[in-house]
Amino acid sequence: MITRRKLLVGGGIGAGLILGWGIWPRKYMPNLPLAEGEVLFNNWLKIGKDGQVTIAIAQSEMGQGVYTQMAQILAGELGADWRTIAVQPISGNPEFSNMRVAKKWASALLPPSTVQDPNLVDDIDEDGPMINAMAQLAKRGSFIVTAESSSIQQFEMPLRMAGAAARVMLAQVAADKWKIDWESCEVEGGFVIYEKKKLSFGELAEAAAQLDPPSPVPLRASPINEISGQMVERLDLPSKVDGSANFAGDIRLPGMVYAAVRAGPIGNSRLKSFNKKGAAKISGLLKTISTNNFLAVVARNSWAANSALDALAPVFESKGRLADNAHIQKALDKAMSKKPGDDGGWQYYAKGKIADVFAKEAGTRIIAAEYQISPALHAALEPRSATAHFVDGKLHLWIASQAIENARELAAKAIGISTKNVVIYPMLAGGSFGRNLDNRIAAQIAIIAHEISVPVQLTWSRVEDIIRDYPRTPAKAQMRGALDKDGLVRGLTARIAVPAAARQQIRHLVYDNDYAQMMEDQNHFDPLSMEGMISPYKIDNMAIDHFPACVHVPTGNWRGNSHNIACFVNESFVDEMAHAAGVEPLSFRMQMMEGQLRLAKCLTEVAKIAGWDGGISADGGTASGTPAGGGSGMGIACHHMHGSYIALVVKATRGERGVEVDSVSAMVDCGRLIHPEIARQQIEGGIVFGLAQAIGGSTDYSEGLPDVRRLRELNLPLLRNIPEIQVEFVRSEEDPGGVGELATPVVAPAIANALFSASGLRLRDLPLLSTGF
Amino acid sequence: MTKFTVNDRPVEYKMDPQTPLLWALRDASNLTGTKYGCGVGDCGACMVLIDGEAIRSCLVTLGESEGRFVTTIEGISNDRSNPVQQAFVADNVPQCGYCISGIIIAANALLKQNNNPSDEDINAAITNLCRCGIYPRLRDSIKRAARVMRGEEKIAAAPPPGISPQDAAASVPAIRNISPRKADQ
Repeated sequence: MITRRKLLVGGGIGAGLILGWGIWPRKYMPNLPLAEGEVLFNNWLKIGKDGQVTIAIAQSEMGQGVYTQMAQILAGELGADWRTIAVQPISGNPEFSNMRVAKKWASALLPPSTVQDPNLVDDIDEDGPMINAMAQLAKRGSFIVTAESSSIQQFEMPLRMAGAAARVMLAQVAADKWKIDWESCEVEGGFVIYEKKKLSFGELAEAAAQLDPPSPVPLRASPINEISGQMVERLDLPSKVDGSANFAGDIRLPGMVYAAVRAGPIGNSRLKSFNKKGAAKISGLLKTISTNNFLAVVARNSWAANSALDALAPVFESKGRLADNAHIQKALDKAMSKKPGDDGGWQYYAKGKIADVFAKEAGTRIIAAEYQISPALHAALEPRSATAHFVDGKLHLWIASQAIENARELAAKAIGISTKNVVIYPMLAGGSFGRNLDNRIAAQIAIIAHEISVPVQLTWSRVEDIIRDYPRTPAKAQMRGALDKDGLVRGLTARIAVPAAARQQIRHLVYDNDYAQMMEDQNHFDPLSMEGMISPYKIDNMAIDHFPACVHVPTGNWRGNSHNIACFVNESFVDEMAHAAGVEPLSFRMQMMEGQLRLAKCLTEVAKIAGWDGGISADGGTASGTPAGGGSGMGIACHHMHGSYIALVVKATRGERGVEVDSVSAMVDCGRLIHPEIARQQIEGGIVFGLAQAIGGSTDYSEGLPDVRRLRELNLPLLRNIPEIQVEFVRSEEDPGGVGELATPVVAPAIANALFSASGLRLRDLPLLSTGF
Repeated sequence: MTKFTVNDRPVEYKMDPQTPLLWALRDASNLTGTKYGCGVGDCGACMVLIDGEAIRSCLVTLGESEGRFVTTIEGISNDRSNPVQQAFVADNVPQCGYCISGIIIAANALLKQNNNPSDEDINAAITNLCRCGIYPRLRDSIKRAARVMRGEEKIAAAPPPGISPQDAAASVPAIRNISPRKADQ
């Protein structure tokens, strides 16, 4: 019997997966605007008579190369010429909803008592009815979110389907002209080809777009083709080297004016007063707008607006507790003093008989250590900015956001208009790292634009940007391990005191919670804030407990999220156990690798490329806990997240000026790569971000304000601080995993382990420098 | 009134002479390639060439710029042909792009004085902050730009902007030269 599949194999298109039309998006009207000479194929794609192929992308381009990679997937499946590809940022269509993240985040919307049920928590990643219901809710609301390193995993298949459907439609028109079966045609380089005949996409597009899309959609045999999987030119680079790439603060409109804002301390603060006549001498001052919680100034240029704001000297008053370091410490310590099962603690994960292996009769040796993690600021180089124009009842809004529909909602709500009357222009982001999930600036600029009749631009000053930041949460962790006489780990317990950071952030995004509600949300159990905590090692008896705490600082997503905390404590502590057991740290890890083939391979391979020395310092230190002082040493660490794996070897020195990292070697398995160079950029960048986290990037808080107000005070690495960085990839045909966050969490523990090897000093605080370097 | 030269054109700003050059360039001249990152000289995103020297334009007032020659990223070349621009695209240096204008300015100031810089020379010259972490490929790319400047290598990675439909059609078979596209209605 000749099946359709066999026919396709025989045909020129090449056969791959054939997908039913059932999962094809039909419910939503495409909203991709067309220029003259362009025709629409589906939600994702339009083609011009001139042959230009334009791909609609709703994900936020923050430097991670998402525009290029998503376009590669569609263009490769389509058979286009890469030089004809353009990307059009878009929003407002639920078809671009990130269901992967919606499903993941759904647990944050469940009642606390439900989250507490370990049976349900185990089902968080499954298609349970409750999670699906949440996902549907998100879909209706257009959950366009760029987060959790999810874009490729979420959108590879829809992009392939969109490209494949258009490829078939183009081939059908050509085949019809040539009176052959469309299956006999090749499609490549922007042409449909049969023997010596060829027609370009531009010639075929108009007729092809009239056809019904094929069902089922025949995908190419392999997701790797002449575009996807290749190092094609990044689409965004030419405009980024000549200053023409536009960020939200680069929009220039006729008659546009410039705004500056200042809000009060972190907490329940309101604008009390300001010196109304203070700015009389500022030339170019146009208007002052005071609201309940912020003061805004509009002027002819940004400098005048900020100068006026200084001169107006707004005074704020706050009620209740303000963000403060002493309180953060107290809250975490108090949470940690609770027991799981009573009113303050929750067992997130347990297996085996933990009490037995820690009992005196077990004859095990107990190792214990306590770790402390400070808040981490994003410090993206672009301060939050937005441009808006309120005209004819509509708000036009230029903004970069990782949750762009939330920006639309906040803007609409702030001035009491329908979300239908907010026109969004998604912009490039100047870094973000989780920062742009916060859209408060959208509400601010909506209010300002609504008050004046001309276009207005708002850029937060760096100080305002630092104060308003939702940092990665602080945390504390107590780790205990039980070693038997052979040096094997019989049991591991982790007690983590941390606010329900993910729960608070997600609920803030969905419900627009105020400060008080955000603080209340921090007090609950939160599996998402425990993500990454389950040790990858084969340890038969394990318990992980969450002790939530309200720290009175609203916290946010930050490149790697809870994995930063989890990997720092787990990979530092496993190193402590290795040294206590007198076993070389790599062997110690390898003996506990079971069912972790990909992680194990990263470990063994990184050891090879780095020339792993066993974690024994060159000047006589040993792995058994008596290292010599000074000198340099090697440290190893590994982690897996978002379907990807990494192992790192770091060579570091404890020098007079602090921690000096001499070299970093990384072995990465993130599956099949869409763009090998972009993946490498992301790993390199992730390592640098992790380096920053290891040596700085943090702040204390006093009376509702961060102590750090300048980038200079964050001890962020500059070029001269960057060691030799070597990144290698395991060749893999697995489905793509996330790449953007993967490298960040693993750096700090690798450095801490290297410093122990170098000097015998164990650094248990993050940043590492906070222990008195 | 302050008069000076920006990208080879004489300009007169009717702004408070205390206004930092950064804001005059961005808000009055619409030269938005020069970025605001901190306003206090910490990050280098606002670097421009003043009389050939890489200077943080947030720290220089309009008054202090009187009579000087200012070059912004837009004036580095009009067709992306500057060797640093070409090398950065060829080597996939930029990520978010926000720090890039400043770094290209700093690299040009360096290469003009020293067309064969060592790692140490580059470390000393590039003090710009980048959060995406482009640093690991930055030194090699600046050295590559130096080779281009010395005539040892050619790069054609970044196409010039504003290619005409005729030229596009001539070089890319999949592009057809049809009547000029009109803007969205």
